[in-house]
Amino acid sequence: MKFDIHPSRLRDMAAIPAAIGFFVLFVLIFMALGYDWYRNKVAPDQPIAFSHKIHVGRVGLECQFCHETVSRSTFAGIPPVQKCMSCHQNVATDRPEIQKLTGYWQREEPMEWNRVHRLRIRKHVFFSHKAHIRKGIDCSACHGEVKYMDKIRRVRSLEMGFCVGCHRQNGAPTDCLTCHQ
Amino acid sequence: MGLFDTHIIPPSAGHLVLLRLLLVMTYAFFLPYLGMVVGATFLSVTFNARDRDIPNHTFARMAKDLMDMVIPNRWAALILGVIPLLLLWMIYGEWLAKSSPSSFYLLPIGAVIVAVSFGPILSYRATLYRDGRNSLVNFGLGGAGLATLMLGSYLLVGAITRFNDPERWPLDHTVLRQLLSFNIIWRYAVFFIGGVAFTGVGLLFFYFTWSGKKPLDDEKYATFMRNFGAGLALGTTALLPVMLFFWVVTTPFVAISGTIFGVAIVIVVVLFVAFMLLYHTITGQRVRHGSLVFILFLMFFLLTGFNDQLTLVNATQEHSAALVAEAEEIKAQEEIEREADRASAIVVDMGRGKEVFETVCMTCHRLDERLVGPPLNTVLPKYHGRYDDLVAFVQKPSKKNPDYPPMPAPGIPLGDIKSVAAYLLDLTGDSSVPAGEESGHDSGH
Repeated sequence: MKFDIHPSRLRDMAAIPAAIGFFVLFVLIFMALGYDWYRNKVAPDQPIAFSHKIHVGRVGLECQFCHETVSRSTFAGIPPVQKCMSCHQNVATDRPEIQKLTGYWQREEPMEWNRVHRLRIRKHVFFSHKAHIRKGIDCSACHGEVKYMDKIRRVRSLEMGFCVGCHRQNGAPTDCLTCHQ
Repeated sequence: MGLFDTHIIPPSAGHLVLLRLLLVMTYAFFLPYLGMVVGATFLSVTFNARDRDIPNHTFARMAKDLMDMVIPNRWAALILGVIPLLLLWMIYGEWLAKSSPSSFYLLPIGAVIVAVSFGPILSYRATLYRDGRNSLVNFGLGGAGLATLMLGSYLLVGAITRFNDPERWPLDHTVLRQLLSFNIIWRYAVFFIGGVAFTGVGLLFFYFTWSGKKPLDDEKYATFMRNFGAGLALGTTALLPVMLFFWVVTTPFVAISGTIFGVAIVIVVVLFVAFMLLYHTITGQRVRHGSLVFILFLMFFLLTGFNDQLTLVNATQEHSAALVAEAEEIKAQEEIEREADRASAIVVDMGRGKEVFETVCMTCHRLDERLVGPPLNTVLPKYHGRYDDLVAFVQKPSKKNPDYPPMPAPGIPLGDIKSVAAYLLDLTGDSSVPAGEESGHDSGH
């Protein structure tokens, strides 16, 4: 068998697959980043299409009207279905989403909301809603202006730099044990 | 920002869409042009310096041809390089009105420095035509032009990049903090390397493909230019996906959305096609598809600009929503005022009042029992003799009792509000209500 290939041709043969491999690698990297985004970071769907824009923006409900434990507990608390029904037994009962809500109430079934705000390294961080509310920090500092959001989404990085920056601005302690316990 | 805050009416949602379109269009021709000016000036000054060390006709001619390509005349510099700066300042100023990005002041400063840099660059270009050139003056002008252009463009990129990180706005107190971040550095790297690549592509297009320029008569020089242009573009095109990757991964969380990754994939595909065509230009020893590569690079800048405006839109979602809400509030207020002007023509109709009460108010209220809102017979006596106050409250409710959720604006015409207010006051025994005639009352707004 005789090989009669010019060296420049060999270069061609190696260069083209290498170039294809190089660019395909970056396509795959961006696809992976996009997949990770949609899987872990995009605003999740909720059991009902609850709109903060209507309830906070239009009706004017205070955050604590629904998130009752925010000033008393580490967790802000999610309102029970009963709380929603205190208004929606009468209000907007013809809307499909309200009928879905009423279904949960009639079946005495709690709604399983999907978590939106989660600290990145939550195992090592202690965060208390109570401490922040009592210092007069507005909910929008971490949660954004929910009165403009139909579907709630995370609008702050909630990374350490974000927390430390805010602590510095407000004269709050920045030693490690404040958040890492 | 003060100028924009004082003189700009908050933009509506439609207006913001137009601003986005205008931003992408401005980027579509400004980014490739400015990138090419940076790349061509950088290369021309380098060739000029090499020619100064060891006189070389080819290098001297390349230095001149590069500047000829990118600034054929002063008008090109003005229209493509200076006017878009003013447009960018106005677009960003309007988009960010009533907010306080700490880096906003860098935008006009960067724009002015870029505009000023065209002065020494044009002078440098003119010196390349003179016989018996003084290489020191030549290099000095070129170097000064390049340095100011790079400084100005870095300030522009830095300011615009910082708009995408609102979390950091209150923390960036110094210029260094405003201008030094990995995201800014990588974004500038994409711009600079893209500009150098586009310069190489420009040499192939303007001197070998486009019929508008005089063909090169010197075969040896033409071969040098073709190999240099294609080689430069090929090498830098291979660098761009790496730069793009670092730019995307250092972009702040709040500025990211899924579409940005999709557009990045399209950019890589565009670069791949351009890379293969450039590779065949080198191996085939002739310029093939020069126009196509040129168009692909225009697409690269268009897509980069698109991603750029997308990061701005994502990062400033809350701010834009607040502007739109303010615009809607102004519109609603105007509508209330218009209705108040027409108030004298409104007829108070008790029958209509009853109908409105039963279809609208009874969703939340009963006369004698607590529902969502308080029983009306405990509330209405407070309004006896205060018909106008009741109308004003229903028109624009405010929270009165902490035991109940706040009442939303019912969103019904003023005539209906007046009728239902009259009906309810009458029902609870207030004899002073205007009924069955033109009200003649002003709502108080």
